[in-house]
Amino acid sequence: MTRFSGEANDAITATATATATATVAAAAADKPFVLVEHGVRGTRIMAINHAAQQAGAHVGQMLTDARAACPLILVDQAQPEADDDMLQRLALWAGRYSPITSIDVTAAPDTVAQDFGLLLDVSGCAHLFGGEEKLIRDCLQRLAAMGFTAHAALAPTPGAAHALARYGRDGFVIADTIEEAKAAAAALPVEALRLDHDRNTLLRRLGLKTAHSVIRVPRHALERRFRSKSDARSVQLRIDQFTGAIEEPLDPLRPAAPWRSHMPCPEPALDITGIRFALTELTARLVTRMETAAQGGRNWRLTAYHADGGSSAVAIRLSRASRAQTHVLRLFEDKLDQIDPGYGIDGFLLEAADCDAVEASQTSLVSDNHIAAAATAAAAADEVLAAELSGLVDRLSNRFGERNITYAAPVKSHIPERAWRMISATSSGGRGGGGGGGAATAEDVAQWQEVEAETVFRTTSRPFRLFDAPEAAEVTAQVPDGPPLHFRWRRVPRQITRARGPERIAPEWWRDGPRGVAIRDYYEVEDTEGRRYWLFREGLYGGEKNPVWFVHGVFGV
Amino acid sequence: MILNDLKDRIERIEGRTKRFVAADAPQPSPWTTGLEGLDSALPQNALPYDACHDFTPLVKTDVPQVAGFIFALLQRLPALTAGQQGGVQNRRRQQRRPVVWCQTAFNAREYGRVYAPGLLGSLVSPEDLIFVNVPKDRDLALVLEECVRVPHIAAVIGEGPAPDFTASRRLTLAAQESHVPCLILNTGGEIRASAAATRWRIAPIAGPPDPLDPAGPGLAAWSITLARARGGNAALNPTLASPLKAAWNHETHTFHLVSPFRPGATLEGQTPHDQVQRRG
Repeated sequence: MTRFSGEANDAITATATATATATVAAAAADKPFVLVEHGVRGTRIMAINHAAQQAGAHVGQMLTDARAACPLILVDQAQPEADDDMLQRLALWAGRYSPITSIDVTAAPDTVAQDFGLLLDVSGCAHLFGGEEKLIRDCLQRLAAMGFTAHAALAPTPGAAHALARYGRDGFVIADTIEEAKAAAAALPVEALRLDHDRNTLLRRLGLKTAHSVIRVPRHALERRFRSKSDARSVQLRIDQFTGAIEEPLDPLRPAAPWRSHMPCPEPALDITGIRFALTELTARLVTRMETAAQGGRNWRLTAYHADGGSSAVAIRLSRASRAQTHVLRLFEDKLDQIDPGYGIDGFLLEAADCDAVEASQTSLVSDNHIAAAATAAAAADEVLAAELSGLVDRLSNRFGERNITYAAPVKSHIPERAWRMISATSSGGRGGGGGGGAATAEDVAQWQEVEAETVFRTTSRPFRLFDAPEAAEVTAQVPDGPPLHFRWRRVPRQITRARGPERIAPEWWRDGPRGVAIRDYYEVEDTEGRRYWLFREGLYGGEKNPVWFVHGVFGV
Repeated sequence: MILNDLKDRIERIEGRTKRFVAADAPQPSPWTTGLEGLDSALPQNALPYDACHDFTPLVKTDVPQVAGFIFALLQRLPALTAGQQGGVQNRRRQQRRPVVWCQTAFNAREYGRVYAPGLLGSLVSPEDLIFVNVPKDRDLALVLEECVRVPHIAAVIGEGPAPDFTASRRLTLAAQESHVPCLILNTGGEIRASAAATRWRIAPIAGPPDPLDPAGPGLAAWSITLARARGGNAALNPTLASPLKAAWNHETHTFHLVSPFRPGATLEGQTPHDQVQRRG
């Protein structure tokens, strides 16, 4: 229990009337309004507003029954997917309060409808908003402005926060210690413990009607009351999660970045100038902090929180960890127009993740010792050149996508198309750590030299250009197994004057590829115009199928 | 004198100099083709570094072969070949300058990609190449310009429809600042106005036989026309009268003129075969 002393969780229940129908709901705020779903056993109510509740409708009721009670009820179709989307967006939006936010959806105990909520780990975040109470008030106020009816609770464990937010008093509840939470549990129904319907019924039958009474029952006594051990354990687990005897880690929507800088806007930013200003300010702050820690990040993300709810984010990826402000700003510049300010942005968050140690860069080449200066100058020159190159790789990768800026690495395979792979130039893993950003490292050189040493055993050379997919060709050969005489490829007949081969490449039978597992015989041929091609015959004569010919590559030099 | 020195120093401290190269740094050795007939027509008898070069295939579908010619020229680039002379050890130690090969997505599908394992044995090793796949043709000029502005790069190759005049002028200006040559393989099929310093028309021809396997396919050979060489001597350009025919010897990494009378031999009284043996 002491482990949770510093932790606080904040659960918000949002009755999510789906996005598409939100406008209808707003127009009919004072009239009874329900969302329904058509099921096999008739049309059931999935969500209701306050007026409908007053009129006697409840979630899970048949629509016809509700109509009987209240004939003027307004009805619309429920959209569960839109609800999930909305909740996802809301969870991202809640990132303004805490880096760790997660979606908390459980089936509501007695009905078919779902119960929507968010769990935020606000440990160490509350002071940024002037205390826990102010944080919750701010959150509820903003949610109300967005049109949500929300309840909040703050408790030392996620289980307690979940229970208090849903079944606690109206408004919000703050339980600073687990004892307070337990005391509050006296007023909570047994459903607050996140158990399934059958177990809730059983516990009620046993006379355990409040969460507090269940928690108070001794372990062994509780176990005897259930038919199976697993039943008892599931109840015990929920109790332990409530009291904090078992740690319940949140499953965050996004992993929290190690470097974050948040900026609330006193006036909402309405255009790109405002966004640019905020970004410049935030990078300056973050870079200064990273400098003292000698760190740099490879993944940078700017999140903009919209005044009318929701958030949008743009991200850039660098080929090596960096905290160069101008470079980061330049990469973001291309993407800033993806943020639509809409009705204004009232907060920004800049995160840098995937961090690595980055030494302070040298800014001056002046030194008293000229020889030492020359040596450092050479090293600095190399460093600057490498930085320029990785800058280029970053700019191109962020504009055209990482997989379009590549370098080649050898693969140990005899199948030509598998003998190499393209590795994104931004990935540092393949480039052996420090050499990220497209610069060749000793490792690459060694790998290729190893491959080069094997080439002497080959009959045909490898072509200069290779097609992504071998292209079918019609080939005439003198004898079935002999070299080709002429071939037709791309509708042009070509006469072969010289040929070399065959080089037999056996299939990798342990792999199942689209080309099957046929043996290939490669020929290097030259036509009358001096163009040289790399042809292969797939399959053998005398088999079930006749062999097929393909053009796989073209020689250039 | 002292004032200039101080100014230089201040500029360097402020990081305003484009490169950390002193003004008295040795000039890079000239980038020659090694063919006297061609070199004499080029400005200062070499391919200029600070310029664009335009290569157009005579037949539109011969793009891979013309790319081969460009690749042969790359192997003549001193910046790439300097490290090779000292053998493996030297090659490993030296900071190598990469080549960026930009190709439009259409070209990659139509004419194939540069196949890295096929480059083994040449002076440009696969680890020196960065490949850029340009999804849209119209972005090629932009990508090339970004690349040319990085002085660390040895050369930039752009394969796709040639950029228009304005774009090629911009590329030239960028190259003048960074001294990174930009080689454009024009696959668009049309010859457009261009600010390129040299313009070439290339077609593949049947080359002399491979010395090690006379029955097999021969050496790569091209018929070369140097259609324009800005600042060069047109009077000394033999290709204006009739295209020059040259073969590439992948053992010695040199061009050889192909004899018009005996296609099996190169001019200068020696076949590539003799050279290989002498080297051995």
